[in-house]
Formats: sequence, structure tokens, C-alpha cells
Amino acid sequence: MATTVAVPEMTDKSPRRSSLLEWVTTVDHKRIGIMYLLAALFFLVCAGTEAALMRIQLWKARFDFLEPDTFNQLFTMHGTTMVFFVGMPILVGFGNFLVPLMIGARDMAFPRMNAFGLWMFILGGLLTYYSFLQGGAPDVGWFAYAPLTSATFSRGMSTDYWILGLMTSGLGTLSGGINFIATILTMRAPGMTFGRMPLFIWMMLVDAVLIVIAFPPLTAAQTMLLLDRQLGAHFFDPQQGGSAVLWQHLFWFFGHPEVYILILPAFGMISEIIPVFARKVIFGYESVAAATVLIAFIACGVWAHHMFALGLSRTIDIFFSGSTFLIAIPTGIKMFNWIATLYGGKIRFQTPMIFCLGFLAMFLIGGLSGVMLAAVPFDWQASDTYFVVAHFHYVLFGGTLFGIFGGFYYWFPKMSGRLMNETLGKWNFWLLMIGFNLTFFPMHISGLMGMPRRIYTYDPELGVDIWNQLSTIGVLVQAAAFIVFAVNLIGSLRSGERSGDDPWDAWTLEWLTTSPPPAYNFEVIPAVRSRRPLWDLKHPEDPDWEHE
Amino acid sequence: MNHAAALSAHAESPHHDQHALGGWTPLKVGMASFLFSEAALFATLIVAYLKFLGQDDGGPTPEVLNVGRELVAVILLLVSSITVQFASRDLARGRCTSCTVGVILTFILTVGFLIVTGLEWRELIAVDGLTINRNLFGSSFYTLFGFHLGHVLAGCVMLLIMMGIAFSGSLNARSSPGMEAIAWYWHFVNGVSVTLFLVVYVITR
Amino acid sequence: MTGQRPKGLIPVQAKRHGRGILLLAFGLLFFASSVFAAGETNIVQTVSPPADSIKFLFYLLLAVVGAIFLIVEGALIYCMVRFRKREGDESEPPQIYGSKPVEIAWTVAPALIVFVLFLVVLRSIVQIRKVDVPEDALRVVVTGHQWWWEFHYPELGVTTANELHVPIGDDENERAVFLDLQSVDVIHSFWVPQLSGKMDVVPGRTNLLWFATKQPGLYRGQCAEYCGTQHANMLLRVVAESPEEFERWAAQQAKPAVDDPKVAAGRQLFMSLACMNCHTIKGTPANGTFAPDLTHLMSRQTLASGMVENNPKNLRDWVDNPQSIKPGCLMPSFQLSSKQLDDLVAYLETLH
Ligand code: HEA
Ligand code: HEA
Ligand code: HEC
Ligand code: CUA
Ligand SMILES: [Cu+2]
Repeated sequence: MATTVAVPEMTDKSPRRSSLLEWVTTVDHKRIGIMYLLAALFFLVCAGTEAALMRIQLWKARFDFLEPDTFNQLFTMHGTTMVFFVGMPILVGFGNFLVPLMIGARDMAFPRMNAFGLWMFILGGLLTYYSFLQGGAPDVGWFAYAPLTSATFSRGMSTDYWILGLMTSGLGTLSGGINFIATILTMRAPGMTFGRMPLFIWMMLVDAVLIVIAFPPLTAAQTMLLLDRQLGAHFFDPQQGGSAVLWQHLFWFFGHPEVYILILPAFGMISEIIPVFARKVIFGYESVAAATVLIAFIACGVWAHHMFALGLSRTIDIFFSGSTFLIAIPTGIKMFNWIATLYGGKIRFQTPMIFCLGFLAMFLIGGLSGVMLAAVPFDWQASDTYFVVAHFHYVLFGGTLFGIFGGFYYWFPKMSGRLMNETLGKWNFWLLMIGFNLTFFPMHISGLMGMPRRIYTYDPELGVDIWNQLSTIGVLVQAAAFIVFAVNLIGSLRSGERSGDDPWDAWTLEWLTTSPPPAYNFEVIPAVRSRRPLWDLKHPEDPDWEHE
Repeated sequence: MNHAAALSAHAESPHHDQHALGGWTPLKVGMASFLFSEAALFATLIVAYLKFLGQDDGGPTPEVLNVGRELVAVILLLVSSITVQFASRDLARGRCTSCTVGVILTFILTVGFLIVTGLEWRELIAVDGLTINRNLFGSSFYTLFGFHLGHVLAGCVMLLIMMGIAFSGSLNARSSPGMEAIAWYWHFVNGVSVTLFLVVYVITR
Repeated sequence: MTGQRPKGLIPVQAKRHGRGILLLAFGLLFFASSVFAAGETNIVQTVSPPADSIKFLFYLLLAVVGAIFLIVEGALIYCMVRFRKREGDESEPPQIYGSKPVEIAWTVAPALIVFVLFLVVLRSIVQIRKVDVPEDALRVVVTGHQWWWEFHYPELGVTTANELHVPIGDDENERAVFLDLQSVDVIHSFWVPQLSGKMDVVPGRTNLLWFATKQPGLYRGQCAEYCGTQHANMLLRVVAESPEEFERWAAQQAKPAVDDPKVAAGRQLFMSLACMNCHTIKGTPANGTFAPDLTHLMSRQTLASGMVENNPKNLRDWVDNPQSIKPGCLMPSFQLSSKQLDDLVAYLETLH
């Protein structure tokens, strides 16, 4: 029954405040990870504000708040920012902070390349935003369909900024992906076989492989587009025999894996958090890991489900409908495994956990609407409407972002040595939950009532005013939730309760070291014999390795 | 830190898994993943090339390509793959001088490749009037081979750096993993060159 | 006790929730349909076979995912309530590592569900995406422009804009309408939810879309693929009318423009200003193809692809300053004097 092991109290040897310069020049994976998180939070405020502005414009039919061009820039920048400068960097940031700690390594495989990745991401983000000062942000939508992006239809430099910004940050992402693969494959602690890696590590590995597969085609496509625009090449120019369809194939060959790149690390986070707070080992470790690999594999063969309305051949539509349906199976396996982990547990409803439960409840909705969209004829009605907007916010927000919030509350003590405030955490959760559903649920309805996406205004005859008003009100509630989060974050950083090394009584290696960990992470590299080394330590009478 | 020690103590055999992948050092795994991503990049460009093949209404077609000359270029690169391999092996065995010779030979062969390619492009542009904005063939041909050329140039820079190290007299076994990575990269780039030759100059021409 | 590990199956208490769940699923369905009854431009108020077929698919999908939703959410809530930590209980629960049979079950069940869905989808795709056009179908060439629609009836020699007229069918004769979708600039998407799903309008290719209706009426739709500044206002209308009315309409549309000498001044202006470079008026020198055909402008209900009602005031405002009505649209403002405007609009008003 030894749940706690005598932990030598971490004397408050709080290292002297490090200078800004030390942070900027650091190659320490933990600091790089934290800087990823901070930069991404900054971009989250940008993208969220853009969304809020759009929502105001959509308050009622024929509302006059924004110019059409401004609105078009806003949704382009909102989508681009959320995907490339918020979602991915936050996940990469967590990965950076956690991967070496969880596998018992002292740093990432290539610390300097790691810093390079961070700065490329920041540079790419700034470059993209710089376009605002240069006569207008990109206004071609986050997937920038040709030929709207051609020099003929997109004058000025905005689209070039979009290309260069994403290429730059893409290079950073790619280097991050390579770094994760090298780190995870070669630097695990003694004894940590593939079968004993924490699930978060599994998912980061698969995620990194997806990055390595998906980003180069995007870079290639963007290069072609740049050549079209700058040197008069004809790749995507139908007037000269080029192909608008090719762009879509190339973009979505990247774009679909991309959305799984955005969800897998979140899957990984909740696979770590749920067991700890249910006090049970994850149910069906092998099948969760296998399902991840399967998801990544299938994800490379479903891209044309974004192109059902394009008029490709019936055979192609049927193939991609089938492959997309298949993804529901491994995702379902995971879903059921998480719920089975709860079954028979002793669930502690602390903030990290309630975000994970929110994840399960909300991601399910997004997943199911995804399956509806995979049914091609239904997609012919729903595609490019607010139904799709609802779908992807349920998976991206209800999934990725809820997972990220859970991760923040869970690992914040490890990063800072302090706990976040529980009361504010619960407020954060409930406001977000309510605001989120209020914003995005009505979009299913307005979409099916005939409201296309990316419209800066709509006809009163459409009869969707009320649903849009609900959505807009929802943003206010969400904004309140974000403010609570910001208050909690800053407040806890200053004066949060000291957490000690292992506040959640958890099982993976990062909790073995101090909070925050020393630069070298571990004095002695631990050797492991099971998936839950700290369980073994805490329960010597009944270690895990006897059962796996 | 006594926990970590405690953990290590009852692991079956400490230190048995840190290098679970045999000789696969982080550098090698990193390089392999990088080359994998490069392969994805070239695959995309090849797909684009094939997609646009024969779609032009006017302008030069692949007929204008000079197979013999490109073959020379490819062979030059292939030979340089051998020399770079020797250089890398020699360094691993501590033979710094012969490594330097290998690197220089590789570089010379590469310059040869660049010259031949320059001739080919000059003819395409000046005689056949094939430019990147002339037609689809031009767009996709120059993009595909331009990317390859960029990779060759990047390889040249790497070789130059190795030469610099060698001439400053600080070449030793510590550079060996780096040299090996360069060799891998070089083999990859030359593999691409063979693939492009086969696809563009032989199979679809 | 720590470390209890029941071997084999986790103890699942199989209760019969089936009927309740089904009931709830139907409740959900009912809620959904009552919501939609409000609007008219929605995917369940269908009047044409492709849309009907999708409506059926939609209800089926809704029932299936609704049931899954209730089961999974139910299981989640059940676990949360039943297995919450009790006050004062600090012991660890039994650790259960997994169970092959259970895991196989929840792999196979979804597989079966999606397989069935896939078969339904297959049938539906084949029904809706027709590849051969029946001989007696009405063919219309639809051309997407930034930000308006051109409709050309090759067999009838009619060209019009933004308002598509079609005849209704009856039980003997379906009177299917087949659209050839083309674009002269960027990608658009043709979408009239009550008639059929959407189909993209892609430069460099021709897509086929069909519908047929027995119900006369006005069906609204709009461009559904982002196509630039005024994507939001690329609206379109389909007017379904009796075959007789349609014949009459088509005959009228096929005629050249009325030439009323009373408005010669306006006509003169139209031909001398740049208007004729972009617009066509049949029977006059104006034969531009960049902008809507104005030959029978006054037969349309709206101006500028559904933005405003077609009435004298709006028409005048439009010609005066299109940018104030549809900011960013591709018709420039001409800074005309009031007199010029009067003449021009008087002329346009004769184009019945
Ligand atoms: C985190 C990101 C994320 C994730 C995880 C998903 C997951 C899925 N998505 Fe989504 N999707 C997006 C992000 C994401 N999507 C984005 C951003 C877009 C729009 C891009 C744009 O146009 O801007 C999009 C668009 C999109 C489309 C195109 C719509 C259109 O534009 O017309 C389609 C169509 O098939 C689709 C399908 C799916 C499916 C089937 C899944 C599946 O993976 C879901 C699987 C999960 C479940 C099904 C729930 C759990 C399973 C069970 C409980 C088992 C039992 C279930 C059954 C038997 C059904 N998505
Ligand atoms: C991770 C991804 C992610 C996230 C988290 C979000 C979050 C939000 N999204 Fe986003 N969205 C996308 C990804 C995402 N979105 C993508 C990819 C598109 C497609 C783009 C395209 O079509 O090209 C899209 C499109 C999109 C549209 C459709 C636009 C259109 O088609 O015309 C809308 C419309 O309402 C919308 C709304 C919102 C809202 C209200 C939030 C909110 O949840 C945001 C809440 C956050 C904040 C509000 C910021 C923090 C708050 C403060 C700092 C307090 C003060 C702030 C103020 C209130 C001013 N999004
Ligand atoms: C540069 C090209 C151009 C010129 C010149 C031009 N127009 Fe237009 N016009 C357009 C375009 C494009 C539209 C469609 C706008 C839209 O709906 O987005 C249009 C629409 C119209 C419409 C509404 C048609 C409808 O069916 O909705 C009228 C009426 C009209 N123009 C009249 C005129 C008159 C009168 C002139 C001359 C004074 C003129 N136009 C000159 C491009 C032009
Ligand atoms: Cu045309 Cu949107
Ligand atoms: Cu997708």
C-alpha cells in the first residue's frame, strides 16, 4: 500500500532568475518547449481575436461591421494561424518539454536543431503577420485553392507572404519531426522497449513520422505556386493548361495528415492523464498504440474526402469514402479504451482530468459528424457549409484544444514547480465548455439550413440569424474562459501552491525528477522494467512488470 | 535522485536498451528521416511532372532533351558516389589524407556534372527556347531538375566545408560521423538523379 | 487492495438499454426536423430526386450516429458517476490491463456499422451521380463568373444570368435538367440545397449536375466555394414553372432586345460608354461576354446575382455606383451625370 515513497523534500534552491538572453539563446529542450508554448499562446490570442471579429460581423443578416475583403483576410489568417502557429507549435512545445523527460534522456537528439525549429516557427509566424502592414493579409482561405491564388486573381504580395511564412515555419516543423524521431528511436532509457514507451511517446513518434511524410509535399506545392506567381510558371493556371485540381490533391495530401498531426499528440496527452486520475493502468495499451499507427497509415490515403464536391470520378469518390469510414474503427478503439480505463477506476475530478473528460465527450461529436461527411452524397450537401465548420471545431477545439488545456494543468507543476489554482481551473473548464458548445453546436444547424462557409454576410431569407447570434454570444463566454485561464496561469506562476516533484501521484519518468527539472533532467539515467516505472517504485510488492 | 538509482537497480540489466537500434546513432536516424522527407519532396515533383506530360498545346516537348549528354552527367555523379564512399570509409579508418583526396575527387566530378548540366540547360534555353514560363513542360522540367540542382549545390557546400576542415589540418576521426552523413546525403542525391534520368529521359520521353 | 487483477473479461453488466436509446435517437431526429422546418433553403425541404435521396441518407446517418452518440456518451457518464473517487478512499483500484474479447468486440461492431453505411453510400452515389444524359433532358451550360452566374440554353438559343428557369415535370415525364458546369475564372460551386447537392464549377473542366422537380416554385441557392471578395453575394435562384410558362419564357428570351425609339438617348449612351465592352444586348452592337447579358434584364427579379430587388430605384443606384451596393464587384462606377443616369436607366427599363 505504499502509495508514496519518501520523497526528499526539494529544498527551495530556486535557481536564480535567468536572464532573457539565456532564454533566447538556450538549446535546453525544456526552455525551448516552454517558449513554443508561450509564442503559440500569443498567436492564439491573435487568431481568437480574428475569430471574434468575424463572429461580430456575422451577428445578423446584412450586418455592416467589416468590409468583405477584411472578413476574407480574417478567416484566412484565423485558420492559418490556428493550424500552423497555434495548434502545431503547442503540441510540438509539449513534445519538446516532455519527450526527453518521459524517455529518461538528458535532451533531444539535436538540441541546436531544436532551437532552430523554434525560431523558424516564430519567424514564419511573424512573416505571415507582417503582411498586415504590407497592404493586406492573405485572403485566399487556409487551403488557398488555385487559381484564386494566381497572380491574376490575387494581386499584391499577400499570397506570397502566406507561402513564405508557411514554408519557413514548415521547415521548423520538419526539423522538429526529424528530431523527435531520432530522439525517440535512439535515446530511450535502458529497459524502455517499444512496448514500454509511454503512449504519449508513441503518439509523438507517429506524429513525427506524419510530419516527415506530409510537409515536403506542401513545400513542393507551395514552391510551384511561388514559381507560378513570380516566374510565370503554369502549374496551377488552367488558362495555360495547368491544373486547379492538382493543387487540391497536393494540398490535401498534406492537409489531411495535418489534421491528424493536430490530434495525435492530444490523444497522447489524454492517454497519460486519464489513467493517472482514474488510478488505473490504461486499458489495452497495445491496441491503443496499434490503433495510432493504423490511424496514421489510413490518414495518408483519405485526402480526397475534402474534394468530394469537385466532381472527381465516381470510383475515386467511392474509394475515398470507404477509406475515410475506415478511420472510425481505430479511433473508436481508442475512444473505447479510454472509457474502459475509467471503468472500475477511482476517478479524481481534478482540472486536468475534467478537460480530458470534456475531450472525450466533445471529440466524439466531431468524430461522428466527420463520419457523416465521409458519406459522399451527404457531403455534397454539407461540404463548404457551416456544418463542416462545426465538424472541425469540434475535433480541433473539443479535441486538440481540450487536450492541450488538460496538458497545461497537468504538466504546469513540472514546468514551474507550482500547481495551478483548482477553482479557477474549474471555472475555466465550465466557461469553455459552455461557450464552446454555444458557439459551435448551432453551426451544424445553420450549415444544414443552407449557410455556406466563408461568407462575410448572408441573406435574411436564409433564416439563420438566430443560430449565428447564439454562436456570437458563445465567443464572449469563451473569451471569459480564456481570460480566467490567463489569470490562473500568471497568478499560479507567481504564487501558486508548491507542487513538489510528483503532485498527481503519477507513473511516468518525468515525475521522477524535480519540478522544474534541472538542466540535465536526471542525475542518474533511470532504467525501467515496465510501462509505469513509478508504479513499480511505489508498489514494490506488486510491480507492473509481473503483469504486462 | 535515489529513485532513479533504485529503478536502475531492479531493472533486469541496466544499459541494455539505450542503443536499442544497433549501430543506429541519433545522427544516422536523423539523416535517414531527413532523406525520407526529401524523397517525399521529389516524389511530389515527379508526380507533377508526369501529370503535365503531354498537356501542352505548344512549345518544346521532351523530344528536345539530349539523352547522351544527360547520361554523361548522371555517370559523373554516380562515380562521385563511389569516391565519396571511399572518402567516408577512409576517414572512419583514420586515413585522413586519402579521405581528403576522395573529397576533392568527388568535388571535381560534381563540378563536371554542373558543367554538363549547364551545357544542357544553355541549349534548352538558347536553342530550343524552353524556359520555365514557356509552357507546362518547361515549368515542371525546370522545377524538378532545379530542385535536384539545388541539392547538388548544397552537397558542394558540404564538400567544401570538409575540404576546409582538411586543409586547416583538423580532420580526424571525430569528423567521421559527419562525413558518413554527407556520404549518405550524396548517395541519395545521386539516386534521385538516376531516377530523374530514367523517368524523364528514358521512360517518358 | 492494490494490485488486484481480475483475469479475463471485465465485469460488464449487460443491461437492456436498447429501446431507450432508439427512442432517444428518434427524439433527436424529431428535434432536427422541427428545427429545419423553419427555413426554406435547407437540405430537408427537398423537391428533387438527388436531394430526396440525400435527405434519406441524412436521416439514416443521423439515426446511426445519434445512437452511437447516446451509447458512448452514456457509457462515459455512467463511468464518471459510478467510478468517482469516494471520500476517504485512498486505495488504488484493481488494475485491469485489457481484455482481448472485449477489444475485439468493439473493433468488429464499428467495422460492421461502417460497412453497412458504405454500402448505402455506394448505392446513393450511383443513383445521384448520373453519367449518361437522357435524350429528352433540358441542358443548360452554367458558367461561373466572379461573382455572378451565366446560364446558356444551347438548344433554345437563350442566355441569361443569375436566375435559372426550368420546366417542372410530372409522373409521366420527369423533365430532368442537366447542367454543364464551367468556370471562366476561379472555382465556384453550384448549390441549390432543395434540388441537389453541390457541385464545384472548376476552370478547365466541365462537371455535370442534374435535378428534376414536380413542384413549381422559387428555389434559392448560392455559390458555395470561396471565390474571392464577393463570394458571399454570388446568389442564385431557380424558377421552376409549368412547361407552358417555361416555353413562353424561353420564346421571349430568345428574341433580340426591344428597340424603343423613345429611349434612343439612353441606348446611345450605353453604346458609347464602356458598357458594351462587357455586356451583351442582342440586336445591338453590344456583345461583351465579361458581364451579364442584359437583353432581357427586366425579366429578372433581382440585380447583381440576387443582391437587390430589380426595381427602378435599385437599378439606378446600381448603374450610378455598383461598388456601393456590391463592394469589390467587377463593374466599375462611371461618375455619370444625373441626366445620363436617367437616360441610361430609362433605356435599361425597356429591356423586357
Ligand atoms: C483534429 C482534426 C480533425 C480530426 C481528428 C478529424 C477527423 C475526421 N474527419 Fe475531419 N476535418 C478537419 C479536422 C479533423 N477531422 C478539418 C480541419 C476539416 C476541414 C478543412 C477545411 O475544409 O477547412 C475537416 C473536414 C473533413 C471532411 C471534408 C468535409 C468537406 O469539406 O466537405 C471530411 C469528410 O469526410 C472529414 C471526415 C473526418 C472523419 C471521418 C474523421 C474521423 O477521424 C473521426 C473518427 C472518430 C469517430 C468516428 C468518433 C469515435 C469513434 C467511435 C465511437 C466508434 C464508433 C463509430 C462509428 C462506427 C461511426 N473531415
Ligand atoms: C485549432 C484550430 C481552431 C480553433 C481553436 C478555432 C477557434 C475558433 N474559431 Fe475557427 N477555424 C479554424 C480553426 C480553429 N478555430 C480553421 C482551420 C478555420 C477555416 C479557415 C478557412 O476557412 O480558411 C476556421 C474557421 C472559422 C470560422 C468560419 C469562417 C468562415 O468560414 O467564414 C468561424 C466562424 O465563426 C470560426 C470561429 C472560431 C471561434 C469563435 C473560435 C474560438 O474558439 C476562439 C476563442 C479564442 C479567443 C476569443 C481568444 C482568446 C481570448 C482572449 C485573449 C480574450 C479577449 C478576446 C476578445 C473577445 C476580443 N472559425
Ligand atoms: C468592366 C466591365 C463592365 C462595364 C464596363 C459595365 N459593366 Fe455592368 N456589370 C459588370 C459585371 C461584372 C456585372 C455583374 C456584377 C455582379 O453581379 O457581381 C455587371 C452587372 C450589371 C447589371 C446587373 C445585371 C444583372 O443581371 O444583375 C447592370 C444593369 C449593368 N451591369 C449595367 C451596366 C451599364 C449600364 C454599364 C455602362 C454604364 C455597365 N454595366 C458597364 C461589368 C461591367
Ligand atoms: Cu463563386 Cu463563391
Ligand atoms: Cu480530412
